[in-house]
This record gives sequence, structure tokens and C-alpha cells, in this order.
Amino acid sequence: MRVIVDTEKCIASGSCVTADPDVFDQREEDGIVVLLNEHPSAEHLEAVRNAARVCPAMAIVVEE
Amino acid sequence: VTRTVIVGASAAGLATARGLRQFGYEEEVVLVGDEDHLPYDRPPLSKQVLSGDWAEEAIWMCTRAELDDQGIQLRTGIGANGVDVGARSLRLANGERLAFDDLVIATGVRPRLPASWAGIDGVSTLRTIDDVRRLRAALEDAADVVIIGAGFIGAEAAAVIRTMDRVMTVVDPLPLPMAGALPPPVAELVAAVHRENGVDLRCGVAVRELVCSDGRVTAVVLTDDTQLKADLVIVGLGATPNTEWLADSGLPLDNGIVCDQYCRVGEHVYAAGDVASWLNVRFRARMRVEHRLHAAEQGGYVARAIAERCAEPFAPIPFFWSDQFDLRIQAFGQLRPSDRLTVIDGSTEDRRFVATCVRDERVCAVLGVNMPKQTRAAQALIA
Repeated sequence: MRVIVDTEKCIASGSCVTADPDVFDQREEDGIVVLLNEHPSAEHLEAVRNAARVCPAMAIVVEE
Repeated sequence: VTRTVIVGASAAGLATARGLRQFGYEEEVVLVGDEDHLPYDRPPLSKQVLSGDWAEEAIWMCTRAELDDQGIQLRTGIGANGVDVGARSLRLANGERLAFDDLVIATGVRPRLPASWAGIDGVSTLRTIDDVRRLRAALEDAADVVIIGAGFIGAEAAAVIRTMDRVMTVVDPLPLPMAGALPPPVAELVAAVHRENGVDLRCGVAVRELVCSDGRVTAVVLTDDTQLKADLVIVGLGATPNTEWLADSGLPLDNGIVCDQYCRVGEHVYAAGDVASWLNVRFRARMRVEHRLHAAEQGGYVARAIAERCAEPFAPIPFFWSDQFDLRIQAFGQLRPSDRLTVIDGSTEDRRFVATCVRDERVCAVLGVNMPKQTRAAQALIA
């Protein structure tokens, strides 16, 4: 699995961090997404898919 | 054949369709939408698409190929005009009937437009990609722009159009912009930022009439007798749920479609997104939320309810954001303008802060300006 984030589209809701704090974080200064793990293990698949589905800016793509 | 039919092909409808596949639903999925386009994302319409910073391609939410790949049948350019719940049959605008096992209603809302203003050249709402195409064309020749209504759409569009160097006036009968959504200290900050950037903000005064010449708007007259020159008028007066097509369905309608805490309208009928009024047990309140994250969450929830027959109520913490000039305003929870604000991080002077929003001794929401990470963390305080 590969996770791709688009910091240009990100609107800093942090909904991805709520979905999986092991994979996503936010920058301190402006809240834009920080990808902690580009290749998370399979046990994160469901949470990462949820993060991509709820992202209000469509800024997350998951390649399975 | 077993089939889920989703009416409404925007954020909530598409999230439902994708969610069904994600949660292992293997039956037919049909997504019906009355716009002629593939599903697209609306929040950038009043921001980056209006300004031209983003090409339209940036907001398409899927491709035909992806939908084909997932076995989602998308039918665009056709609305539904009735449902027979007992017979589990949806009636389309062309008279065709579509049988369903489960139905998801995600028909959203449409902008309010006073009837006497409809059809006037140079007067537009801002909801769809067609609206924004028309507005972008009109802005080529428009020097003086008036926005009626200083809510989310009006305030965001004003910031963008002012940045495009047009004379920008905003009119709202309430004393402050976004006064229906934000507590006064934050609404005052919004007003200050607009004025600093050269927006002519006229709050506490209403529109009396539009002046037209040859069917085209030329000016806006206010109740204080001011006459504002206008080449283009954008109307941002809120939105109405699209439920008229359900009038004879027997389904409960009251400010949207009335659902229980499981987003169920009745046996095998669900609703999601802007049109759904449901019972949020976390806040012990009926809610209807017109925000983007909510559409995706509720669509995903309904998909899971259909695919897995789960029994957990849908009880999210609602979220919204608004970007205007250099302000990024965010709120989690059930915010009301009358809530008492207490700043817990940063400061209002610096225009970077997080505040709790309290009523009846409870933290009902947290609100942040230009501090997204800290605002999200503070949602844990919501009781």
C-alpha cells in the first residue's frame, strides 16, 4: 500500500489524523497534512481508506 | 437482482457508493444525479475555482473509468421525481422506474433566490459548476460586484472577487457578516479583515430592489435609500433542501428528510448529506448539516449500515471551515452564535486562537482561527 497526500489541496481539517494518527499528522504552524508513513502495513488499510474517504479536500489517495 | 439506488450524485451520494464497495457490498449500485457532470467537489467553487487559481479538473471527484472499475453505475442529467416506498420503486424524470432494495436520498439543497430576481441577466447564485462558469465569464466585464448575503458563500466569494481587484460590496441585514454562524467576536474579526482588504461591507441594511435595464441588472437599492452600481449581483441567501419530489411519497419531511439516529427514513430508505435531518445522540439534538466533511461521513455511515447492517447510531462531531483572505476559520461541534467564547490558546489580537464555545455550562463546540492542529486537538473538550 502507498499513501499519497496533496498539501496544495489540504484544508487542514485533521480528519486524517483522527482516522489514523500513526500515518498522518499536521504541521504545527498551519495544520497542513504531514505524512508519517508512506507505506503503512496492511493493518492500517481500513483506517487509511477511511481517511481518504472522509477527507473534505480529497487530498489523500491510497494505492493498494 | 439486488440493488441499492442512490439519488444525488454529489459528495454524499458518491461517498455512499464508494463506501458500499469499501465495506464489501457486492450487489448493484446505481447513482442518479440531475446535473450533467461527473460528481465534483463544491467547496473550491467559491474559492480556487472562482478565482481561477485551480482549473476545473482539480475538482472532479472521480472518473468514469474508476466508477466502471468499482461497478458503480452513474446516470447523470436525470433527476428523480417520486418514490413508491411500498413497492420499492424510484420514478425518474423521464418516467422510467428503477427498482431498489435499499434507497439512499442525497439530493442536497439549492440556493434560495427570490422569484422576482430569477432570470435577470447579471444575477446569479453560487452552488454549481455551471454557476461558477457563468460567474467567471461575467467577471471578465464586471467592474462593480454586489453580493447579497454575508454568509459562508457570500463572504468567501467576496474575498476572492476583491482579490481579483473588482469593486466589491457586500450587503446583509444582520449587524455582522456570518452572524448566523459565528459568535460576535469572530464575526467582528471577519468584518475587520474584509474592510482592511477594501471590501465595502454594509451590514444592518437590507436590499429593497434591483434596478434593471433591458433585463440586465444595473444597480441595487438598499432600504436606507443607497443605490449601489452593479454589473454583477451574487445572491447568497442560504439554501433550501431538495425534497419537493418526495411530497407524495409519505416519507416524513420537515426542514429536510426526517431520519432517526441511524439515518433511516423508513424501512430500506436512508438519507445522507445536506438534505438529511437526523438525531445526533451525542448532542441529544436533531441536526441538518450543510458542510462538506459531514456529507462524506454520513454517506460512508449509510454505506456501512446497508453493507453490514450495523447498529451503531451516527453521532459525529460536525466540522466546518471557511477561508477568507488570510483567515482560516474552523469549528468542531454544535456551534451557535450565542455561545460564550473562552480563548484557550493564542490570542484574538494575533488573529490566531482556539476558543471553547459554552452554553448551559457545557462545551458544545471549539472554534479556531489560523490554528488548525490545535483546534482539532481541542475537540476532545466537547462534552
